[in-house]
Amino acid sequence: MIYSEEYKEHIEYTFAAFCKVVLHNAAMTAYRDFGRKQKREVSLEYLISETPFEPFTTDIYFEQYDQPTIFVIKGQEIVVASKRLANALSKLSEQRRNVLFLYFFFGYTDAQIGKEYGRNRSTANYWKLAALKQLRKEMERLDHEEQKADTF
Amino acid sequence: MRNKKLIPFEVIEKAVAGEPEAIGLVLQYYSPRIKYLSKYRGHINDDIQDRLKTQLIKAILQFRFDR
Repeated sequence: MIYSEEYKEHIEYTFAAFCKVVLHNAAMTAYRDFGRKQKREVSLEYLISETPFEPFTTDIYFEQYDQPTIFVIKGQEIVVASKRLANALSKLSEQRRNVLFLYFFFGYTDAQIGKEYGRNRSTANYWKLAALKQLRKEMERLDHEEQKADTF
Repeated sequence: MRNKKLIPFEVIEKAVAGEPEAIGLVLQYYSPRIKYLSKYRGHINDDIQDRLKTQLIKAILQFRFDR
């Protein structure tokens, strides 16, 4: 397609004006966004030195529980810090508790737990699930009792 | 007589069609302006500069001849 010289010139000027406007608008938007960001942005050093409260928290272990409960499994002592969990665990039968500890604390697989007792992998899995279910029930029951005690 | 300072029509045609070389030429032509506009508090701000460049490329592709 052949364009006339005038048309070409017209397009050149139009394009120049178009680019100018685009850049101007983009710059205005950028300034606005940066201004907003700078208004809200605070340096970490300022936060640490100027705020009345600590800008971070430190986790506390073993302090909020008065007496950690100790379970002995396979000659190894396992400390359960949470009283709530310990109470519920002590309600479980010896074997179910052992299965849970072996799985979650010793990192045994189902098959390894089964070997320990001379049973199948699926049996160990069933024990684990049953123990978890019972544990949940016990914890819910204990919570419920506590709530009851609080209301009276 | 066409204005020699402007980007030639042929380049504009190619740039709008999306040819990388032509777009590069347009960007180069406007780089002083971009630098001038991206001055924020007396310094050239690289973030703003990048934004302007991307905006310009986006806009070039949307340029229409029939207006």
